[in-house]
Amino acid sequence: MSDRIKHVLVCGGTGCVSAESLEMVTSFQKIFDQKELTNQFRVLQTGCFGFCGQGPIIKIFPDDVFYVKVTPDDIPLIVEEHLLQGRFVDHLLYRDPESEAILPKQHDMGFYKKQERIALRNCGLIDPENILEYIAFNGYEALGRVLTNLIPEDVIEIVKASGLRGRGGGGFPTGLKWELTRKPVADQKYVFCNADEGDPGAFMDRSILEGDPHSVLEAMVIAGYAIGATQGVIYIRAEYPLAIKRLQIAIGQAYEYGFLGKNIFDSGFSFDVHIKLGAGAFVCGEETALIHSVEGYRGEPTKKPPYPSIEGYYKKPTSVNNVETFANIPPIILKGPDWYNSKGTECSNGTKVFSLAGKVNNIGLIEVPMGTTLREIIYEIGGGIPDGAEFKAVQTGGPSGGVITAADLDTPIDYESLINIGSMMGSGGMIVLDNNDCMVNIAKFYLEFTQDESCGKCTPCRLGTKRMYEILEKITEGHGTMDDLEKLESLGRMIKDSSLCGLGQTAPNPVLSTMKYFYDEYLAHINDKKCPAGACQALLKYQVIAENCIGCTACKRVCPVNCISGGPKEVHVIDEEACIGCGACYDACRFNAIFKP
Amino acid sequence: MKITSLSELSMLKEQEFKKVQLRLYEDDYLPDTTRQQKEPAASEADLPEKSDARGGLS
Repeated sequence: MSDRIKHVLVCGGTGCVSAESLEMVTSFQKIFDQKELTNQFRVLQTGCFGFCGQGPIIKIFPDDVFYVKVTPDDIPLIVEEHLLQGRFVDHLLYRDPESEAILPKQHDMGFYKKQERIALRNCGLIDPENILEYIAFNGYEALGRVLTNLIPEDVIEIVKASGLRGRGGGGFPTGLKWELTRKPVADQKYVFCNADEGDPGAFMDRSILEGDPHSVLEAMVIAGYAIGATQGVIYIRAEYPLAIKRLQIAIGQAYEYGFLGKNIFDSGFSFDVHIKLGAGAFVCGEETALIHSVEGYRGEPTKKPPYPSIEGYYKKPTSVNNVETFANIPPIILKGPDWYNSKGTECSNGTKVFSLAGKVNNIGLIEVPMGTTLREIIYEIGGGIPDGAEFKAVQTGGPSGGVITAADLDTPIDYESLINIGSMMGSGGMIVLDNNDCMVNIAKFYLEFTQDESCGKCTPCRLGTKRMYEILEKITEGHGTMDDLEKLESLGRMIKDSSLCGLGQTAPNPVLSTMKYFYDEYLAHINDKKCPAGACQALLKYQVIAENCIGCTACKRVCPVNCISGGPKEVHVIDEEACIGCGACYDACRFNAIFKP
Repeated sequence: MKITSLSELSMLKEQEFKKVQLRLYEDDYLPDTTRQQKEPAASEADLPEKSDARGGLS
């Protein structure tokens, strides 16, 4: 039996923390102290539950009740009603948007039903700042078994047999990378953890580090043993302060319990880990740029080969693996490679974590078996498109990926299938777009990001992306020509073929992909000077619908450029030449008298 | 507190698990590693055969 009667788990992921979830932990504790309830109830923070759109989230065990959108003001009520009286606090329970049914239990929610959590296994279950909770759920057992029962080659064989591929985007087989790093003879080798998650809208790695930092540390030590390294570096961007704090705590605890440092598990094997903070450059997610940054040089990539597994950190063999990749390692060791490779598709085993964002009802972090279709993700887990809008596309792979249209919603997702339909897995960002999103504008957004993040080392990427961005800007402002489309395409192909690293080689993807699937939208911007989605401000020409206008002057009063004429009780007129398309008149009108193109 | 063997870790795990086991129940979305707690623990025999040599570290 437990030593406590009920556990109150409060989401301590960055999203919920920003909505005062840690204050809620304090508030619970204060009430428990005041009412002398500490022997009956225990409150703790956990990592992210994943259902970020419903946060802050509180879960109570053993009742298995899941409260959503909780505020600090709700805490006394939860204590009084739920904990002391045994009654649900109805207004804080999740209501299914489709059936309207109240669902108190997590596993009844569509968001969780199709998920299978391996990398996220401890997120929302344990206190990430307490190593004992990690140990309680099998923590460091895989490391113990590896160091006391297996030789390094066995470990590599297990990881190879599991079929685990790099989750940072490249999809390179992890066991093979370890094998390649083990082979060279060197006086020192290194294990690097790539936590430089930079895709807009992606927060998978941050959540794993915030919710289960020990799983990454444990895997790094296992990797060190497998490849023959005694030093590990976690490269994490400084803009992840909570993840850094929890990593620092976890590293301190791991040293205290002997899972890091000298002679781990009395095996003769020693391993040290330290953290290196990155300044937030997207290109540092590329492994050679990352290594240069850790060495103290500019974060610029270098040509491969030689690969880091042969010549990495200070020219020594270095295995660079992503956070999510590491988080899969302990369960693979404990449950065996066959358990892992039985999940997923033929070439892409296991599960993948995605951050589901954009125009979708259930925004959050999900983990599904490879081979799950986009339709299942968007409609069953994601709950469909909000406000009755129509699904248009989903952007996977962030600024390196492409769009997937409704025609491919039933494609099982894995590394190969996404490339076949013109996108890529990337690190797992998934942005859903609806009919109000302009695809030209979306392409421009991603290109603006990549040209801004280009390190400038190679000309195709440094100048090519800038020229492409300028052309897109011209098109969205209504000055594009058909020649521009040809230039966009040829520039895009050239940049892909001639750039030095993955950033440049993939930067044109969003443009080429939207041109392939939404060419009509490009034509509308160029030939008709119209944005079909009504998103490109320069192309918006608002008009007054005369029969609806009562001359209330509301639109005229809010227009920032005074381009609306007409007195009280007169039909108003918008000067289209002077109009900047801000939409203030449309928002102010209460009589549906403004036409938005 | 320094853990130097699997048996020490196992004892600590057993002790700590008692404090958190109320968070477990049979569900598909729950981590397999936690559900495993309700099943017989995997034995050493489940692991790949131990090789003769420990292998040298670089």
